[in-house]
Amino acid sequence: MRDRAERQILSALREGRREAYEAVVGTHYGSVYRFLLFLTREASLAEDLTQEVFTAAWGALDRFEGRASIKTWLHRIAYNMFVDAQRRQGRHAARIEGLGRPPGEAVSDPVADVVATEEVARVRQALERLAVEDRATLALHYIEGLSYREMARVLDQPGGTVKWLTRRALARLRHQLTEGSDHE
Amino acid sequence: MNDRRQADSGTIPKEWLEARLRALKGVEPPGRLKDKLLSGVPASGADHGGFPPASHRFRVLRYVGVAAAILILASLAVPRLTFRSGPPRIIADINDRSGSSALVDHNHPRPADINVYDHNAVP
Repeated sequence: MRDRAERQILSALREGRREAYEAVVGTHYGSVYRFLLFLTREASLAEDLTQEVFTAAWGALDRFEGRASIKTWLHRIAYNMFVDAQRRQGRHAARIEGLGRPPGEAVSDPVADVVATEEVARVRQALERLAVEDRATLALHYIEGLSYREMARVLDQPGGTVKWLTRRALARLRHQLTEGSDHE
Repeated sequence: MNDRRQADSGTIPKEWLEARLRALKGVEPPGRLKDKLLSGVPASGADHGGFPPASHRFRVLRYVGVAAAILILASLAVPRLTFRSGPPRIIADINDRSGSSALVDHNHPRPADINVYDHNAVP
């Protein structure tokens, strides 16, 4: 458990107080959605999965012991949801790698609205070309600001491994950027 | 532009890359998503704020269930025990020496019966 405020929110959630649910949604839904967006690379799917994450979280509230922060807990559920969805999609074999959008499908792009500078746009494009585990580590650490310890809980990996995975993902992103610029 | 040149030349500084990644935090979810999530808040959170949490309710329900099961088992077991230990039924005993027998079994194989009540016995 992180701090007193979080302990109070968790206690209020367990008492079934609506304002606590609203606080958790308001604080964390953006982060969960973004994480899922960079994993799935598809806005509508990220939106659906975000809803599933919160539904699952409310259902699992009794089993949440509060050893991790609510943010870490929600991201772990999100990651598991994504892995499950990826498995389902894999069985159908209808989508390309990592739940990415099928080629040629027009989708709304919430990231494009934000990416004001060309540099950020390039980084974002390079990020999307990376493998799922690289996108997951970079999104968790640099975009969502989770520590290596928190990431270890989310990804169910040892802390040292997560640190190494993040460094490797950053190197791969750098490589993507330089390679991409070579082709331009 | 200097940063751009660095990126293009393959010497992308870590700080440059991290800063651009952090800029992606500005991606906002669609506005309707929050409404959907709030509408999905469980009923215990929305309509029954004063109710005890689900875990407490389940615990109480479990205790009530166990108590009900014990009562049902007891109500089934007690009558049986009572019949077994209660007063014996009054039955006609052919060998009762009080002479108040109400029934006579003519086919009873025991010699005592034959001697006393068997009308078919050979004299």
